[in-house]
Amino acid sequence: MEDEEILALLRSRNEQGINELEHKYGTRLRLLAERILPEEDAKECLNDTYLAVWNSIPPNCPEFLFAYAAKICRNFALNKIEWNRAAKRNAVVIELSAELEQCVPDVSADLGQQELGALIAEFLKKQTEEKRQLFIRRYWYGESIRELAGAFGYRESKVKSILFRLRNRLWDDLKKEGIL
Amino acid sequence: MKKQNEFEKKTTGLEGKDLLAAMNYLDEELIELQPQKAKRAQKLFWRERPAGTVLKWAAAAFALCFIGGSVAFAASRLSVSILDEKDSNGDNRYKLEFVVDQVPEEELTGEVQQVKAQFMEEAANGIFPAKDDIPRGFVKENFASEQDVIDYIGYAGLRKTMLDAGELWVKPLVAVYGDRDGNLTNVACRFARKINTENEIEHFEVYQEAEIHTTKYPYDFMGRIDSVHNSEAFQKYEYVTKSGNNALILVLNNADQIGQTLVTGYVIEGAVVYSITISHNFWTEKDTTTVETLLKQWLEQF
Repeated sequence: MEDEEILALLRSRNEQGINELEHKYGTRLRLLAERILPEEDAKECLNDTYLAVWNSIPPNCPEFLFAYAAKICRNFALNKIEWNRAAKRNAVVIELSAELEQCVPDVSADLGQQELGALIAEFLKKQTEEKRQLFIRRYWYGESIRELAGAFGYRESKVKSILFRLRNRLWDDLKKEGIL
Repeated sequence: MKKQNEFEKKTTGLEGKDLLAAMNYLDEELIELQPQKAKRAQKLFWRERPAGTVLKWAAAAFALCFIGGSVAFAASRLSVSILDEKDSNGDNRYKLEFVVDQVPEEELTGEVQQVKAQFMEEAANGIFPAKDDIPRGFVKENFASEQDVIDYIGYAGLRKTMLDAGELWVKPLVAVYGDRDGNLTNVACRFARKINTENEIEHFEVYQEAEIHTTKYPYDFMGRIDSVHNSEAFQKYEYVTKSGNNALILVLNNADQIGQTLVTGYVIEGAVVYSITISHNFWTEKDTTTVETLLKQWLEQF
């Protein structure tokens, strides 16, 4: 079913809309949640996501249905992480956080997440589409280096090299923005 | 370039997880995934070097003994040249070209055929709409063994080549590419592992690949267009195995970029392009010897 048809069902408060959303994007949403959370928590996160989509459309009318649902899912998943209990944190999240640590300037920052997100968005928009996709698939969707190498037709070392350079550039950008 | 010690945080403040969370505020348009272009499938414009151009090779810090002699490497189906164009980072590019037979799809008799149905369903549902002839990509991971990968593809000309060279780091995967009509255009199986060295921080990475192009592969060019930091850092060796097969070995020294040197070997056997990439910092003579030994061990399988 096309996204427009699913949105029409949701706007008319037809529960079939959620069923169709799950049918079309459930696997991808589940993979996204499971990269961040243990399986049981991921299931709960997914249920929360469908409920949140149901409750928010309308009044919201997203242009990109999957991205809309995925943002909700990822937000729930990250909120569920117990950052202070390493044993409960997914290895993927630990790895991604460690990689992104390299982009953080070594000064204290008084910056809201929304503002920081906007800076990252501006940085990504300056990159080529391929680099942008690599960065987002790695740090937003949590895909592994191997998956990215396979999807892009690259060696893993090349994927790592591109991401390394992108992180360096993001570091430069954040520093230029004067995050103090 | 940011040096490694600059990554150490001097004060508390933002952490990596904050960036991870902040990315949830990215526009949905940025997050929405577009169909992926498999790099090797792109049609690229390049200027051919004049016939007879001899490429200059830098002095080799990494030396391989190769068996030369009467077998003419010119008859090989592998060739490489440095291109005049540069990539978006300003790095030089090189073109590695294969001349390899293309296999009818029906000769891939394994479960890989089921991916055709998935490609066709995606095209019908517009899940990954392809507006032009950009192939789709599909990845299947977590095969238990190399034989499972070979069985999954089911091509009689594909054989085992994984080196028993240390602890297996990750399981093999298969990448399948197709067109919007659901035809399989090329299939690659990939194996990656790390080998511990004396230095616990730096390890070898060994990455092997075997690729098959079908008769539905839509491009005239088969090979790689890739980048190297500068052409002085690029070395080529030609190797003929004891069985008389030709191999091409490329050494890409990117040590000043990301502290890595890549050694890649290519052999074509039948309709399969086999390759191995070994990456390391080549800090010690012992490490260099290890790489040479691994490479020869792989080459002499053909």
